[in-house]
Amino acid sequence: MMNTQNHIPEEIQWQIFELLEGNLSENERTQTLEIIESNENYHSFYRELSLTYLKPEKAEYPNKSILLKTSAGNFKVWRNLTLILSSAAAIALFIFTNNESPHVSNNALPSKSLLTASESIPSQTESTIKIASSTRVKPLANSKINGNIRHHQKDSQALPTAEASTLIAKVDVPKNKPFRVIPIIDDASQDFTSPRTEINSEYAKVNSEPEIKIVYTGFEDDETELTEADQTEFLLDVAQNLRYGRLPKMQLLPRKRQNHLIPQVDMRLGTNTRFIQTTLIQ
Amino acid sequence: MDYKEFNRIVEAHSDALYRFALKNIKVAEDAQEIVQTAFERLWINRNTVDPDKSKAFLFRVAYNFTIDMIRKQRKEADMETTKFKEPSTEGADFKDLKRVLERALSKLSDIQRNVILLRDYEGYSYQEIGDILSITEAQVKINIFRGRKQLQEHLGSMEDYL
Repeated sequence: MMNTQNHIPEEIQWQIFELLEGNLSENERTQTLEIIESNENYHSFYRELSLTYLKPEKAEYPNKSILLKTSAGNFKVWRNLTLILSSAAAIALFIFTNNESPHVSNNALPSKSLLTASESIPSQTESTIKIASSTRVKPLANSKINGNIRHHQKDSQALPTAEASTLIAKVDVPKNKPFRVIPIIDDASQDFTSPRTEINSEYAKVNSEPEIKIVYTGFEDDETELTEADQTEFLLDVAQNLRYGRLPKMQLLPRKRQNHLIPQVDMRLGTNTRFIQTTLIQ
Repeated sequence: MDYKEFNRIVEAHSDALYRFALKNIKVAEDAQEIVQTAFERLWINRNTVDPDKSKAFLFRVAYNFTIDMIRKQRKEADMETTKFKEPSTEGADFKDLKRVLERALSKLSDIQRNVILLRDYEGYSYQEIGDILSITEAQVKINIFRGRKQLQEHLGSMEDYL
């Protein structure tokens, strides 16, 4: 095989290219073939160029089933996750009503503090997910409850993760997969956008995701004013609204902070953006 | 676009999209992520995307996502070059045309590689490729031509190993 194109006028190269692309009429095709046959270099170029045409290969996307929707707005996996969380919410409610949770003012923190909570990290190899809200919280749609989910407090003592009695669920997450970087939306009026396109190499080094516990942090309002049914409705609302228009795999955003990795999951709750913040305890 | 239409599009195009991503990115997990992201975007934009143009939409998203991913990988690879040198193609295991072509394909510019992939694997017209990559029909054609010439050059330089 020779590299022949340097010896061939560009016009002829184009003509041969057009022939191979199938852009020529029958007459033009015949003429071009005659030109090719008249010169050995042209013929070699034609032959070599024809080798550059790739043959389609079979490749099946292995995760097609998780892309399919069973009804509008619900992906199969997300539905399953929602079912798990709904069950977990019911357990949480039971525990929650039997334990007094600390109150934190909704105005105590700027919204970005959601990302910086839980500094005190006990020595365990698991993580906790806390449901938190932005400062621009609104009442949930279709809910009787006007109370808001309480903010994280900078001082994690208010929400002691290790001693949290409001543990409501354990969710297994896939291991050995790189984390995706997910933008945390802090503006309820902002439309949700898909995760950013890059994988952060620093985060990707974390190849083993911890077990997750979900900690419900309580209502902003006094729980005693809420009936058990209201709380149940709210929690189920939380669970059922855990969708935000994209595939529902448990997507974690690990943030390295003070030598701790803090995976976070964002979600859209009703018309508002909410966050589930996880704290990796290790 | 309702969910049934969406599912039809998943069935129709997910394999092709995966193949396109895999050829570009080489890593199966990354390719799967690209496909997933493309369909996520389609679902998010289901009210504005014409189902008839969904394939072009998916490929456009996948292309942009792929380019971002490749650039990031290259950046990381550049940082590693002080430690590890890329093995030379000369004398390596490039004993069949397919492998040589794939190697050569990866050396093309992003635009040249993608016009060829879309043309050869998906059978897209110049205009369709232009719509996906946001370039003119003429630019598509010239990029295919130049890309193929580079592939041909590479094949020529590898003659001893073929």
